[in-house]
Amino acid sequence: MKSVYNNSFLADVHPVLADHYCTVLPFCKNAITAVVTRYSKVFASASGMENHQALATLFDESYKRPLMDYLTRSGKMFRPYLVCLCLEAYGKDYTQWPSIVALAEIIHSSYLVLDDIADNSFYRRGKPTAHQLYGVRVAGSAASAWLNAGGDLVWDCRENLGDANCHALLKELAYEHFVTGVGTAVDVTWAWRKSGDHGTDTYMQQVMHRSTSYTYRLPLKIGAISADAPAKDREILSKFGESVGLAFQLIDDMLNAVSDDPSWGKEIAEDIDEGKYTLQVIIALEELDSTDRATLLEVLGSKCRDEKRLKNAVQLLKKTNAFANCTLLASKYIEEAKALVSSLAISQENIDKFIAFADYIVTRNR
Amino acid sequence: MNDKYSHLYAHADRLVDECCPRNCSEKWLALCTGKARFRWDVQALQKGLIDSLWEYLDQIPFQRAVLSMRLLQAYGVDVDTVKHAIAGLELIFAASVISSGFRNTKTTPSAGNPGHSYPVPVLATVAYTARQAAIYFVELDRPSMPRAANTWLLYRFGNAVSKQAMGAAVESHWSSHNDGNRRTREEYLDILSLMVKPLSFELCVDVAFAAMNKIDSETHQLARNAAGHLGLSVRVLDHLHQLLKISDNEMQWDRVVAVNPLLSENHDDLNKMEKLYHIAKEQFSSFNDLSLKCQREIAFPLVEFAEVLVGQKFNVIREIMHEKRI
Repeated sequence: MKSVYNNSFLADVHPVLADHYCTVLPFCKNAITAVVTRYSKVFASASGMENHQALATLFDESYKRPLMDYLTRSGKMFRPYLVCLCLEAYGKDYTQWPSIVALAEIIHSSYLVLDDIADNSFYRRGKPTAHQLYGVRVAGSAASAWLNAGGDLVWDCRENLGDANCHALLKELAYEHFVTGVGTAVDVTWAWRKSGDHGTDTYMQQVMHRSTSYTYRLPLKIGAISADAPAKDREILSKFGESVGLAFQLIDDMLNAVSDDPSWGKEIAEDIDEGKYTLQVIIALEELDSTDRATLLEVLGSKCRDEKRLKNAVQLLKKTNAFANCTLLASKYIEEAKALVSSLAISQENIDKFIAFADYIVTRNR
Repeated sequence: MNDKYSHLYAHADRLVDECCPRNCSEKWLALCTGKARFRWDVQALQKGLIDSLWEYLDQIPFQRAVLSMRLLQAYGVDVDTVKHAIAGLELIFAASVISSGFRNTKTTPSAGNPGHSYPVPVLATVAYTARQAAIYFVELDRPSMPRAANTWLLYRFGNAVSKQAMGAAVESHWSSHNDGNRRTREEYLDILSLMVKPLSFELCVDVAFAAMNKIDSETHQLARNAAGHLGLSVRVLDHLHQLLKISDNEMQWDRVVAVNPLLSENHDDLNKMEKLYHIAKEQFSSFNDLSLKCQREIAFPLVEFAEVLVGQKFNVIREIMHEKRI
């Protein structure tokens, strides 16, 4: 599995967003590395781990390294960027908020580790997944530890945040982490029970509380609260993140099945192999005749890793309106999101960046 | 168990059931996750989340909830003030029990989990969700608590879950990369402290003091430290008990060694069991010393609770050790 992640995706991004993103990205990268390094030291010291050489090494290998491994695999770092965008849009200097900016990416990477375990994925961004490298318990525990260390990062910023915003942020972290579990519980139960008899509504509900949370809703909540945005704008940004997140997942599901971009960094049709009832699969199962339906069900969740059979399953999806309907639905959510942000109490230039971001999500091919 | 504690355990059962019902419903989901934008698959959640979680909750004596409730009772504070947080203590413990059953494999087994009808991805998700639910449950107690105390407790729950997971990562790595080097007693206790203390009884004390609105008082600090030592004592005793029961069974030995690095070599050396027994005694003694320095209203229920919980464990273990001539 080869990864060629680079900034070429910026060619698909509107210049108003691309230019700003390029300006902010170096700060995001530095902030993330600095914050993870600092907190690793703080936690090692507080737990007595750094007092013994052997334990200090174990701590580094089992706690810091699994996360750093993902953080250095050159993801796009849209989440910390969105936090910076929110801070700047409401008149704050984002360089004064390194921990809060890093928080968004730490959470995202932690979720990727947990998601890879739940899906038993082999590759992430072109390299072996964390549990492949460190084992399920080490990777899962490290991810859970970092995910919840977010509370420490927020707590340490409470003076800057103020009491009300500190509480609001802790509450949103707790809420989003919890509902992500509820959404994921539905997802893994469907795969376990081989249950495909649920409609679009139940699929979208679990997506809304699974990936939608950590893709964009939570980073935008982090940004809006830290920026001390007005209550109405916080609500709008949360809904914007939700709608963009729903569209993102629909597109992501399709790319999982059909992407031939070398930068995709995952196995092709991994979701089908793992038995995921994505919306495209649900639609296809409704439309296919009984023979094709039986063939698709046979491959779904077979964990065969047989490229020929998986490609055949993708061909079956293509015979139906599954991809077209999912694209249409994703576009609908993007339009909804764009309409929402136009009423934010920020400059038009910043509104345009949010709109450009939404547009990119639906047109991306990697 | 005396009537007072029987009553508290029965109350804890009702409280956990009330906050995390055995029957998943739209109403409960709306309370916890907000109004559904689309439609929840309630049946899937019942099967893959609630049923599996309760399979574990049903096996746990709700000691953590009882300690918090006993402290609140002694201070005359209504338990309902923090009922969700109290239920959360047991959810976190159930999650730890589930996670402790996972081995550090390179893949996620998707077939059955030994002894259970649920596949690993489902159980891993249940453990994750139970932990995170516990943290969010603190927020559900917000209307009945002072905001500052609620904010602090929200932070404390997240912090405890994070530290425990950190300890689990280090311990798992240690167990799966046994380099043959003996670990020292201090190293063993450092790792065990990291894994056990945050979620053992420290958090129960924090819940009670937050409800009393007395966080960070001197008595709180003392009670918290005492509770940490009690947690370590109980954990070491439980390991020792497990070890004494199965010491002839090589098949299960690996699982015990994983959490008892002191025993990773020469497991037939019975002196090591005696060492563990002394560690438990020392920790219990530290607990007693610190508890007795607390204000009387707190010291009495703490010591009483520990006697009920640990006294019996020590007796059972002494008997077995005597039989085995250790």
